[in-house]
Amino acid sequence: MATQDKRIRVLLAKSDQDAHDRGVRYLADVLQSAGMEVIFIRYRICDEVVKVALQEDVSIVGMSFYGSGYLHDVSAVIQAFKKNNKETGFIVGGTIPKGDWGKLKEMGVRGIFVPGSLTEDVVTCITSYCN
Amino acid sequence: MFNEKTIEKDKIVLEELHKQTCETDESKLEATTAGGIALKPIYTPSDIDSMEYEDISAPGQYPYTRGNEALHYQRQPWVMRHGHGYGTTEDTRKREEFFEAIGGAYHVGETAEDKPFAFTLALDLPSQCGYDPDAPEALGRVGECGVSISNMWDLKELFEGKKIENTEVIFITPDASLSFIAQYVAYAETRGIPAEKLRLKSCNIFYHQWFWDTATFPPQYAVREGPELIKFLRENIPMAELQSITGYNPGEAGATPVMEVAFMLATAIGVVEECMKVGMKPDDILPRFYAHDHLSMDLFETVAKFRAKRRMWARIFKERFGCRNPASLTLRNYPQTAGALLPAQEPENNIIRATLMTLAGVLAGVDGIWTASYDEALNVPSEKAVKLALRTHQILYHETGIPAVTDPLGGSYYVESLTNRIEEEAQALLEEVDRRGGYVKCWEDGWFRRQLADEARKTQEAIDNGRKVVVGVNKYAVEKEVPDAMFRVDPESEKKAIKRVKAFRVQRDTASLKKALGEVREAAMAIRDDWPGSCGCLMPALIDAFRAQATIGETHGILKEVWGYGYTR
Amino acid sequence: MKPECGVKPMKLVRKMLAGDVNALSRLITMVEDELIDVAEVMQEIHSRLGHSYCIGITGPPGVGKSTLVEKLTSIIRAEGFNIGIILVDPTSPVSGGALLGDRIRLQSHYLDDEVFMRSMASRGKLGGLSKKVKSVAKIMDAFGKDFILLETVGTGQVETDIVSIADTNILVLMPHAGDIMQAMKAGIIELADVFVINKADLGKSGHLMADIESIVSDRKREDNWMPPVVETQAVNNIGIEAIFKEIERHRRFLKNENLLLQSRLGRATDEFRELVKDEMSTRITKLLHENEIFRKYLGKVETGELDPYSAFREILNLMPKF
Repeated sequence: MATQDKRIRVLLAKSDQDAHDRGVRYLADVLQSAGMEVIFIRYRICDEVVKVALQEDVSIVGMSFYGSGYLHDVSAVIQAFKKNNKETGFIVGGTIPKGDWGKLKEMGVRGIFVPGSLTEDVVTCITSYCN
Repeated sequence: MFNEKTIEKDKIVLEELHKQTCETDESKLEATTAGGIALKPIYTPSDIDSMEYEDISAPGQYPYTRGNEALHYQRQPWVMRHGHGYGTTEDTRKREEFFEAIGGAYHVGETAEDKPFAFTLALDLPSQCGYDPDAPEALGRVGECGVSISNMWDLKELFEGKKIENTEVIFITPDASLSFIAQYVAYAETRGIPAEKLRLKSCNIFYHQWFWDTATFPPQYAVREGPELIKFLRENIPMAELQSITGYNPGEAGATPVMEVAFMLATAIGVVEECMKVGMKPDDILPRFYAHDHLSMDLFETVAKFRAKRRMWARIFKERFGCRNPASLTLRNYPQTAGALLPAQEPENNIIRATLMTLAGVLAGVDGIWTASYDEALNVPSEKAVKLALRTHQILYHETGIPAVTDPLGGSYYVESLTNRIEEEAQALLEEVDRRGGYVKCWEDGWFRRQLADEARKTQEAIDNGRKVVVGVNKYAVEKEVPDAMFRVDPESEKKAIKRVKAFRVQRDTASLKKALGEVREAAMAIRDDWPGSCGCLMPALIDAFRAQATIGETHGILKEVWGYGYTR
Repeated sequence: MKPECGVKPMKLVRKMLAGDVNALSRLITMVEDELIDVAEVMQEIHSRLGHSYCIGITGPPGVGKSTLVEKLTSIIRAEGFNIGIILVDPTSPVSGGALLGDRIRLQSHYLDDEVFMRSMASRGKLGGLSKKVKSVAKIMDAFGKDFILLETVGTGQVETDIVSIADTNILVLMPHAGDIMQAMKAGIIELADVFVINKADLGKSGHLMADIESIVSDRKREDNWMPPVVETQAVNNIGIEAIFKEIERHRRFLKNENLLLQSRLGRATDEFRELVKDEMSTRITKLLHENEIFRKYLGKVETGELDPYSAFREILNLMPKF
């Protein structure tokens, strides 16, 4: 069965209370240029991220945060995926203090990308998970 | 501008310089400003010869290129607009008091006793967006990045015992200013202080969605927040500043200085036109508009930007709107140092960066500055960083001698030339906005957003490939590691805020509250359906609601339901 | 690592038919990624088809289609129906990737369990896309969706294929944009059952309205349906109820004229033809590459020993053998 048509589908999500989306939008462009299908949403509450990720059957979920809400939101979304038996690679971006990286990794986050990270590192993280 | 002999001599010198520069490697001379304007290595009289004296004129003289007043810092130093806010209002009050204790005041060079004080309140995300701390949308975000304010008890904790007639307050929220100001008015009443004694700076950047991508009201209704609040403040709070025209947030989203100028002017024009539709006159409102601009690292471009903007503002409102009042033609500026330019790597470098950006503001003769703390990218500012941000102002003011002379860069061949270039390009861009139907159209269509996104992408690509150097990040980087946060908000803050708002709700008279909220809903519907006739009905209804002990989430929630809330693009 | 076909395909189909949303989603992926025998799936779900009504919404970029879809969804939901939405975006021919950005305007429906939304990229194979979209629409039908909204970017050729999937086709235009000439080139106008002029500052769309009306009256349709023109300001929720009324009116028209069944059967016939053609084409291509005799002839044409027509006639004689 031919599978040349497979694409890596990525959901990038940011809270609709968060401004400063130039980073995540730039990442969306970069991932698109790397041949991925990128869905970008803003969400009011985490349940929206879960719903969209399930409907779009994405392999990767990336959430972007400007300083607040990451511990609560990441935990809520990852738990919901577990309940739905959904396997996804989870990455987080934005202004996340280093002291919290351990907690996020424990939750199951595969990559944390703060301002100053190289976008090619994000691409590598995603492609290595998907292969 | 110059006499023929001077220009002749200049031409001779230029030829000699040209010979010298030809021998230099071209690539070393291909410089542009950060915003992309081509620069020459040397500027001389010939570069500004075509100007008339009147174009530059003197400080305090139309078109105010050199400044709004002849004597500026000599008479009144700039305002220190450092913003504070995190955790509960108790935490934030402590931070304000700390700031005062280390020498913070309203104007740099003053001490705090008996003089007006500024409370520039950075609100947390839920408060900014009108969610009470116990709303599901607020979970995990309460008190982080700003202070949680939702009810009267919060205000009480913040201001009790303070002389609020002496306190200039600004609530930093993109579209909830109406509720916050109404609540503040109701609070002041409980202290026996009438609205006319209050000092307020209205934020109300209801037009924010094209540069600050949070959810908001659809453009058609969002624009009505402008005249509604402006009308109320004009008629009830004479010491209030009516409207913020922001260039800071567009700058953060990627705007070049030229774009910042053009889009700020387009916004101001649009807001004024909307106010005219409800019967206000430009001369009645412009004197109390103010700008919140972007201070960035290209020092001379930043200085030239302010000069170009002052000149364009004066000309537009005189020629296009027929303003006579000189106060309408002189735009006051309260910029902020660029957060986007303060990376997390090697944060101490940001002390230097913030100083240089603040210096640019001072050289440009602005009226107030918010200098960021060097650890902005890592956390809510630590006390150490706040102190340094304050000392930056104090050292610039007391130890450099700059404030002794108005517009010290005036007459510089380079600066005047760059001012002209920025004006030319901003003028062309402003005409483009006009051609496309004005700022609301460009906002709705996503044109503004695309301009900003394109620039942001170009900048990021330039940083990614090293063409644009950020010291300690893509060059001379010693460690790839980012330091941990230097300051943490007490994680109990969220619980405290939730507990408080729940307790607050329980002790209210539900009957009178229900009635008052019903009236807010009716006023919101009138704004939606009977504009412009209904202008002026919402603010009184909001104040009544807060008198009846409404919370911010309750009033703002009604506006969201009635007007719709989300994204257009 | 990520599982590829974790569950046996038919098991997934049965789960989907039982109402499992996650199974629906996985099944769509498998169709998109060509990990599943679509013919087998279609056979399995065939008896459950025919309930849903498909509305196509197409038009040039920037015209406000997503906002229209959002508002239309609200109205249809208020009537008590459930909805499947397919949002089609073009794949970049350079990178092979895509930014599937239409979702963002549908945020108000994310949490509604009765609305299922799926973004699909064209993945560079224009013909292949319409086949996949058809399959996905059928699966949503089998799942039990009352309405399926199909939104496509109106850039021309792709649309005429996809547009034929829908029962009612809506073409969205806006004033001052010179779109109508472009739409004509693509032949889309002929397929439009309802015209919408969005961002209509009511009154100023006069010229466009007149253009559309004259084109419509010029080209007489076989079925005698006169496509109405509806003016809307989707962002302000103006005109959306009118669109839904026209959709319902068209649906009744199709039913009364017995055209609904006719056109669906017509589509089924076309689909059969296409399936046969595609399969034959695939087999012949395989032959040309693998069969020795074919390769011999190919070689002769490549070296100039035989001209293409002679080679072709010789092979034609050998055809029955295959």
